[in-house]
Amino acid sequence: MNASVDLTRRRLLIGSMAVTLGLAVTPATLWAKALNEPASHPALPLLELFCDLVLPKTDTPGAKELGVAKFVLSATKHGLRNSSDDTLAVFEKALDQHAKTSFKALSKDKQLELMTALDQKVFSRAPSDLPKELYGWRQVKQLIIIGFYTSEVGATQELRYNLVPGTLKQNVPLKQDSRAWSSDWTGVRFG
Amino acid sequence: MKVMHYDAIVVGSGITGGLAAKELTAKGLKVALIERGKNIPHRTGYKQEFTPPWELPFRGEGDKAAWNSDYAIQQGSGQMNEWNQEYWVKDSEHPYTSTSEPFTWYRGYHLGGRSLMWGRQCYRWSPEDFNANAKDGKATAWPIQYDDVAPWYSYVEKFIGISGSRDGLPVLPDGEFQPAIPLNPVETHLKSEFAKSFPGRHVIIGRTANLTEAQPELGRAPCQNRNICSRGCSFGAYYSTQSAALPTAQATGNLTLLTDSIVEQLNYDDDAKKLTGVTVIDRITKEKSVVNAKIVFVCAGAFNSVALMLRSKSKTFPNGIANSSGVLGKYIMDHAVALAAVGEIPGFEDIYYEGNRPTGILIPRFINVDQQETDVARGFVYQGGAYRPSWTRALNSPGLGVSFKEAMRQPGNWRFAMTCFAECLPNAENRITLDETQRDVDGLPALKIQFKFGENELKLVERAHKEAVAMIEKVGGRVLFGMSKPSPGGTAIHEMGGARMGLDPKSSVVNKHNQAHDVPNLFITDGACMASSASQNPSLTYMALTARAADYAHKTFFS
Repeated sequence: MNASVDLTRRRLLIGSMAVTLGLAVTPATLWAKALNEPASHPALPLLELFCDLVLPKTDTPGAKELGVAKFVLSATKHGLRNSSDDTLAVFEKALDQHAKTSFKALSKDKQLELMTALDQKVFSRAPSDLPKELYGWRQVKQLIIIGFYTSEVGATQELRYNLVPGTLKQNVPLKQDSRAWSSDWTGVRFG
Repeated sequence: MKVMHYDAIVVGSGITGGLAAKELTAKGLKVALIERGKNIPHRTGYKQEFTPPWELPFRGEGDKAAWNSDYAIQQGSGQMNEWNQEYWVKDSEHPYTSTSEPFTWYRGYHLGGRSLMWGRQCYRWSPEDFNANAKDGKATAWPIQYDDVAPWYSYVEKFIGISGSRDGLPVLPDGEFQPAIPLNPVETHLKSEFAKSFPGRHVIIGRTANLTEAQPELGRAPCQNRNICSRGCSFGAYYSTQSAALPTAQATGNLTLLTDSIVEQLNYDDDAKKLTGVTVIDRITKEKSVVNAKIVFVCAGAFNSVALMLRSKSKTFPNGIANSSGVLGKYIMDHAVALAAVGEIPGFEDIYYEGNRPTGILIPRFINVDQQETDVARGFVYQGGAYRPSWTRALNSPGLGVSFKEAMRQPGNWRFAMTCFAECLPNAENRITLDETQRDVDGLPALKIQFKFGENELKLVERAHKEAVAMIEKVGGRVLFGMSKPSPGGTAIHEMGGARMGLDPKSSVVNKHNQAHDVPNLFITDGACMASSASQNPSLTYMALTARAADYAHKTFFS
């Protein structure tokens, strides 16, 4: 029996039971509520640009296509990864100063070049001369990464997801096209 | 006031309370099992067990803003997540104060207590562990030896189901094990390399209360290799009160389970010189009632058991019941824990795994084993394992774009993590007292926890760090991170002591049967009774002592 398939069926069953019983709150509806950020939030265009820079579309959709920008907005409102409501605004201002122009107005190549250099410094352990506001990139990028790999597509298509493995094989050949597990203990908060 | 009558009362339904109820009901006693928190029924109560991250509002990370308000301490456990958050106590409702160094007290107030989200590692103490206090004089001698407890270890191991290998090591006696879960190829390699370079340092698979063989009589299936145990397990594959003790107790027809019922105090009859029972507050209605019984087992979790005893005052015991010694609340301990080292291990790039093993490895104590060879007392164990990190390594890696995404598609290089658990010596200065100036949501006085690791614990952790670095480097590994100082007290979630066992009623609270010296029908069988900590995970020892005490209590009071 394929445990993943069985699990999907079980979830569908639970979902339809919830509808039948008229239950008001299920995790799915909560999630929909969290996603219900205004479509025109002023930070969205820049966030989508960052999503595209960090995890672009390849043979699987990228962070932008998966709506990760909205997750990041919600996450900053709730302080995930030590972010806060103004994390994005503060970082954007610092970034514009760093770019000596509006970052959004730069060409795509220039944006990539500037962000690659910045990213190397922010994620390096070596001390740097960057103003501390630019370290807001750490939170923004981390939230994009979380939003992407915990999305259904990120977890199940970009990587592999199996909540009920049923077996333990500890010596499996890793091939060129093998994918990491999104559902192992390093892929979710431990526990 | 409503008054109920039973043969026995068990306070608390966690790792020891559940087992006490199972043992006493099996002997034919009518038992009231009293749990302060809500009922979480097996299976149907595990609401987020099968939820994928994309259906959670915060993808498993949790609502940090809400956690900062309600779970300021609990969220630091590293074990709390968005799936299991309802199993953790709200610090905002149940405050306490650390009066020395910060003590992180991690708790779960519900049916099953922390047996629902425990780490499941189960190790016997060795004869040397029971002897150590008498031998080096660092603490009062244990009135029991390994041979007193060994049959009860066997008894409990068979009931709860522990997978493990028989390793023949005197420092870590073998038990009644189900088939072991194997080491992975990197761990097997390290086992042989360490054996060559560091004689006496053995890598063994963690002995864990996860079934590798079904227990059909209890409806328990083998582990499905999910390693998300703390969400609750509908397969019943790991031991918890819900998966094994409770259904067994209920099947006898002798159990009354009272949830949402807080034991306010133990009621002592000054004339009869014994307990009559307990006073209970209904957590929802706030109404009080009395439950009477011939014997009372206090299994509320070490610190809460002590708190209950401290607030049970009478003419005979103005400073807390069974406290003629003045020792109640003193000599609390927790293992000194630190991520001693994690390193990248070269090679094995073409090997990966499928399935999530519910345990890691253990390296049993190897210092001061055959003789006192260092300037520190006692020792430490390592727990950890070899693994390949998944996408979460992206969180701390530089990189952007297609190449970054492609690199994260595959697992990272092999790593080997070594967390040390060092023995904590009992010290009278480390103690808990009642804080009459602060009340919890239920109106009970909060605790003041005065705790600080001593010089010996600091030296042990420093040594553990040094040795871990040397071991990883010896096998060609590159150390990525390591700590030489312990995390705050409480981090191991092995808090114990406060009502220690001993021969002398002047310096201990319970005797060799876990029976209060001062109050013969009062038994304290959880971690509160510990007179030393050893370096192994303690739950199995608490359970063995509980089953042993239940047997004694039955023979003494009901035969």
